[in-house]
Amino acid sequence: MLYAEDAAVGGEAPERSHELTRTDLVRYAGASGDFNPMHHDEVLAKAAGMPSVFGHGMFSAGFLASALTDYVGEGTLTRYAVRFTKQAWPGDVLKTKITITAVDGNAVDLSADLVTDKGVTVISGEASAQLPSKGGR
Amino acid sequence: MGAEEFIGRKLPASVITIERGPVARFAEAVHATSPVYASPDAAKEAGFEGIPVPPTFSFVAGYWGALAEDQPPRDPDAADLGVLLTELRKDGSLLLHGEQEFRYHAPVLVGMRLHSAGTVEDVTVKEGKGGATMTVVKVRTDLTDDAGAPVVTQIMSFLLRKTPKA
Repeated sequence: MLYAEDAAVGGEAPERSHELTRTDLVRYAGASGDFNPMHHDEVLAKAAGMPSVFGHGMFSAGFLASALTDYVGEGTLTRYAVRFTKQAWPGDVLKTKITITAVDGNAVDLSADLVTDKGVTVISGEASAQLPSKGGR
Repeated sequence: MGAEEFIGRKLPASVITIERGPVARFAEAVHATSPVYASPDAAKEAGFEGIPVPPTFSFVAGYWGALAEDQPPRDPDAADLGVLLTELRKDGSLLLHGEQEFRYHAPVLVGMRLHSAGTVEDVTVKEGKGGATMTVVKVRTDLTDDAGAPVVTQIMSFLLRKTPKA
């Protein structure tokens, strides 16, 4: 939980990192109803010319959102927008990079990117939140 | 059929119930480890009037909660997004989910019913070099509560890339 009084431009959220597994893909397919075989069927993915199955863009967006809400608090987001730039592959270590870019009273804007351990940007995003003040929500 | 003809077309409306089990499992799937998504007590302590949902849950809520008996009669003029995308891919275009935006107006809580109304907001065809085209389809979905108050606005952008065969 971040309070408005503690928010400053340049403030960074703790990085969350996670090595993407095929189990992540299957679990997200089941939780979202997105059964595009490119995300769970290695045989079909390879036949389509892919090196392997790859992550759902919305899995990555969901993981990045989890890091965002861990930082600004659940229920404070007013906007979250992502651009899917590259695929994430099993074995990639996904790392969240979240920085405050503007503060106006209790309103903050943040940049939110998801990058891999190989330096590939998977998601380029931004968010806005309405933070609580200390001593009163 | 030109893709631009779809601009302004409505998508079929739906009514979506937010259920607790799917929210908890979705939170696990996106590694949302906060206890508020699974525990009524933790949600209350955090100031919510019910169990909230992770920020991207509304994107998948219809998969879980569009219960058959709650659905409104199908608007005969509504465009089917599947048909539109199939039409656009006929020429071999590669379909990609390009961008996704959420605007949050009020918390989505377990037990709520959301009313979903979608519109094809924009279709842009850009001509590239050597006959390549890039089509961007923007679909806006407004989720409102039973009283008609806005809850979440979702804007989904698809990219269709067509590269001419050499």
